[in-house]
Amino acid sequence: MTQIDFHGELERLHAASFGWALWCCNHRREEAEEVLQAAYLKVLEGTACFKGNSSLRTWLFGVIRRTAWEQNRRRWLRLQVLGRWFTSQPAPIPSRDPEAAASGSEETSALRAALADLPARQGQVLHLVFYQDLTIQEASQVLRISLGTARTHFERGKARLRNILAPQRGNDDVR
Amino acid sequence: MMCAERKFRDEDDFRSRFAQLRREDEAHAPAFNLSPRRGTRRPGRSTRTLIVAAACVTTMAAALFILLVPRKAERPPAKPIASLAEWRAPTDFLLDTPGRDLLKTVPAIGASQDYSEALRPRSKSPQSRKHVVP
Repeated sequence: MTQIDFHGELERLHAASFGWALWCCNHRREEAEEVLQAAYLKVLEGTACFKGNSSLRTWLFGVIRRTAWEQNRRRWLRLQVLGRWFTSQPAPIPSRDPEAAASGSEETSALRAALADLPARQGQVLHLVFYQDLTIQEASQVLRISLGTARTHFERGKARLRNILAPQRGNDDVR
Repeated sequence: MMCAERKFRDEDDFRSRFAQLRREDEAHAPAFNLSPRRGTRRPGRSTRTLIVAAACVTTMAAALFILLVPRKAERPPAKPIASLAEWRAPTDFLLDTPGRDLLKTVPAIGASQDYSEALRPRSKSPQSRKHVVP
């Protein structure tokens, strides 16, 4: 696949990639944009090599997840180790995107809050399956876990999300 | 049957909620732009440069310190350690008991009056002599 093809594919998947990057960065927009740029650079410079073992989308999501993890680790190190030496006060971690939070409907805000309460893995699997319309197998490839583990996370995540959202749904019915 | 129905209903509900979430996110997604934003730098490069620079400065400072700071004057030579043959224990004098010379020498028979005097039985005093009744 040539670089021009990669460019086109990245552009086609940009919106979905941004959604995944947002999720990986805990809905911090600035951070998600940086992660996405770094991931695109990796793809175009050939640092991340696509071998065709999975779909391009699955592979790209894997690259984004890895990049976000690296960035998180780097930030943590900077804050924990170097922050003490070079700065009197460590730089605050950017909060979640206030614009998106304000513009979201009540229902989506409730869903965001519920997802934030889930364990990370369960939330990731649910996001990949429901938000990105991937199969559980593809989600397991993105997260580099076995299919069985992904299924377990999926079922547990659904049950937990149902429990969290059930009282709210009851209130909606009453209204 | 009911359980399966409920499961699918839940999944549909989740899908519709997530779809709404996706639409909202997509509405706020940045335009696709591959050129890095101003101020965006390759992650990690600055930190790595900083660490390498710090290591270089530390090494140079250590080298300068070793080369430039004069060494301390050499220590005065320690007392020569006594050889084992010359060594004497500090409590040696306790072994010099009085009359030790006598034990070291072999006495000659009859050569010394003192020895014969010492060995001769004492004569009993006349006061202590018992009066034997004839």
